[in-house]
Amino acid sequence: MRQSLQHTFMGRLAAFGVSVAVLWALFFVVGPRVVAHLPALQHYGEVQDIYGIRSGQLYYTDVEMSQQAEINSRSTWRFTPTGPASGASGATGTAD
Amino acid sequence: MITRVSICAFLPLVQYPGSIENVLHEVFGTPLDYEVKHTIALPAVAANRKEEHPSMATNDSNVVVDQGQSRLSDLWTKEDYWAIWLGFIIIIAGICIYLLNPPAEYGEKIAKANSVMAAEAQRAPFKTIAYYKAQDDKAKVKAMDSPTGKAVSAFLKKPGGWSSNPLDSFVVSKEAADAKAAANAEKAVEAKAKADVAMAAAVAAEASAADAAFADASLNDGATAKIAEWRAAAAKAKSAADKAKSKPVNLLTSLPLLMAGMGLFFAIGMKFMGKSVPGFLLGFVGVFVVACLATMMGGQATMKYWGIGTEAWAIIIGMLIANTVGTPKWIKPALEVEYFIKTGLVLLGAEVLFDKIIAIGIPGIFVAWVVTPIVLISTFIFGQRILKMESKTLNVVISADMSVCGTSAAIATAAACRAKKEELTLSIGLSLVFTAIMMIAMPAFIKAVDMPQILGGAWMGGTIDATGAVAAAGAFLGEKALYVAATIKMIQNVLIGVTAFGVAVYWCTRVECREGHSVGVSEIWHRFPKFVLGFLAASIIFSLISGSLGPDMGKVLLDQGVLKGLTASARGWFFCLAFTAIGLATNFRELAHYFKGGKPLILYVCGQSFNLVLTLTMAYIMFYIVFPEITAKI
Repeated sequence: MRQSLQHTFMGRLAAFGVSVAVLWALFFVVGPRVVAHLPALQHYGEVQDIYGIRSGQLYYTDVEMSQQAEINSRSTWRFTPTGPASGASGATGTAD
Repeated sequence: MITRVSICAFLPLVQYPGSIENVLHEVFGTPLDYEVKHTIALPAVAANRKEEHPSMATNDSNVVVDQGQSRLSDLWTKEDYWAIWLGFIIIIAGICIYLLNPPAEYGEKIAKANSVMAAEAQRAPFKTIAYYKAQDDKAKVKAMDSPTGKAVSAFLKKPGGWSSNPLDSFVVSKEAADAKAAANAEKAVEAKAKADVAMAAAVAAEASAADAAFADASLNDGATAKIAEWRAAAAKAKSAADKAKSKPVNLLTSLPLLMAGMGLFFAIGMKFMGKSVPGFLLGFVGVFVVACLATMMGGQATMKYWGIGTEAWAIIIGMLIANTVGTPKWIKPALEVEYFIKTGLVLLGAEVLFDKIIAIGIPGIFVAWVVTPIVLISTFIFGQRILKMESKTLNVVISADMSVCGTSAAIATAAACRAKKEELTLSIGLSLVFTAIMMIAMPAFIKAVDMPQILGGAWMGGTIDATGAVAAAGAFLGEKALYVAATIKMIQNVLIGVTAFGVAVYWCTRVECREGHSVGVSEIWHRFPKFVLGFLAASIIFSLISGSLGPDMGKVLLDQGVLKGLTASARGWFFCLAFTAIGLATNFRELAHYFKGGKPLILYVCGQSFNLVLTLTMAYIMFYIVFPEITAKI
């Protein structure tokens, strides 16, 4: 009985070790190699570092850039750039 | 097919001792109509539900069961009320710290920035360098930067980011910090030099446009483009400068204090609810340690590529332990999933500010507040009528998760309709997988087809689930896409309040009752998940405060004060504890039952496909047909 329990415990411990190893290999061996081969993914990581974003963040209050984005959006409506002669010479409307 | 069975049929079920309500609850897994004490009408398939879904019948420790009546003592014996009391203790503390007697300089700085932006808006038909600088100055005013705010933030600080050494998440010595700062100093200097060059080019382009009295459209566009380049270079320079200011960190003293503080905080409610306080406190140590490990893993540098944050790691690590070595018995008294989630949701209510919905004007309201409910309801109906989902709660949680804003919406909806922890886990898992795909694929596609940044940003903001992933995908395209995407998502985040309330009411009045029977007001009150009232009260109170303060002071004192400085951090911890508890109490095999037939996957894919089409159509109509002049100025 004791041997059986010990065997079960050892089996569970082994399963734990294997699971940790699989996760480690996935995130720290395979993952970085995938990133290294995909420039788009590298750029994706770079912009997150630049703007202090983490893609796993949950809510807008967690994302610092959301605050900046809101200020920018509100400013566009509150202080819409019109120029000296309103409507006569606005930026040409290429929305980007 | 409807089968009518007598309650006597259950009497031989001696394996479910206790009251008849308990027997019914054990058998059917969800709270039933109160008249079922005599006879019940149920789909025949439900009679076999226990065989088909043993988890539904036996593992309902995290489903709240109403007793069909309310007592005064509920106020101090039910976890829904304790979630409200504890949540509001934190909220009131936040109000005392940040809202009372704000420094006068906040108002002065805001007024100065606004006057510059107003003058610049009159001077040029595009956002000038001075306009942007004033906007940035306004964004720097934060109540949480006060000495008290810094002390609170330090106490609630989570394990930080790391690359190769996990210990960096908890402790960074002065030597290590200095070495890191020195290593980044050169990059910071280079980035600043590039930003200065870009700034000079922007100044020259703007001066040329000004010399032509801003009447030459090509010069205006040239200046706009150069200013955009300067903004991008300045963002890189700021990021590099921040890295060159690395500071020593030591969380080994604050984390044990935080653990003790939070443990005792929740223990108050446990005592009144008649549960074992010593057992809870002992188990809480284990839950907190796993939560810290999850936070540490969420902060690992490569996680940004996959969108796996703290909450996901809490479930992963918890399930890993539970399904291999097994969750230790001494931890189990602290696996109070509902208690942690509901308290966190009351705090989340304070972050649901209704004045946010006008942040980007009418286009934002249409993209986030018209499309989203249509998609949510359509997906739910599709799940019930076409896919014939067996679990309505799973259907609505996936629908809300997919259409509103991912994990946070899933948590609120699951709690409002009393979904099982496995259903919440499955919904979040689906969301994580599709978010990881969409946050890479969508910006790549938008770039490939040369879609305008504003349209692309609005499209991603309305469709990608997780808020962080939306901002990241927007940043992939550029600053304008980032701003639009993040703002649309923020407006959509606010929809959580309406969704949670609507689902709670619908469940009380339509789902948890017998077909054809009307439900009285008192009955609705008995069944209504009371913590939702705390969630709504927090949202309404803070929306009113935010509205009265105005968008600028509201941002300084609420967003960057009470919320960011206290309640959001506490909410983050509570959700992390809840997800850790979910992971530690979840069995892989039980989870598999809910995925039977792949219906959840089909539901998600179909709902998201509809969402993609409808959001893109609405974004195009609103930003490019109805309001093109505003779009051009964003």
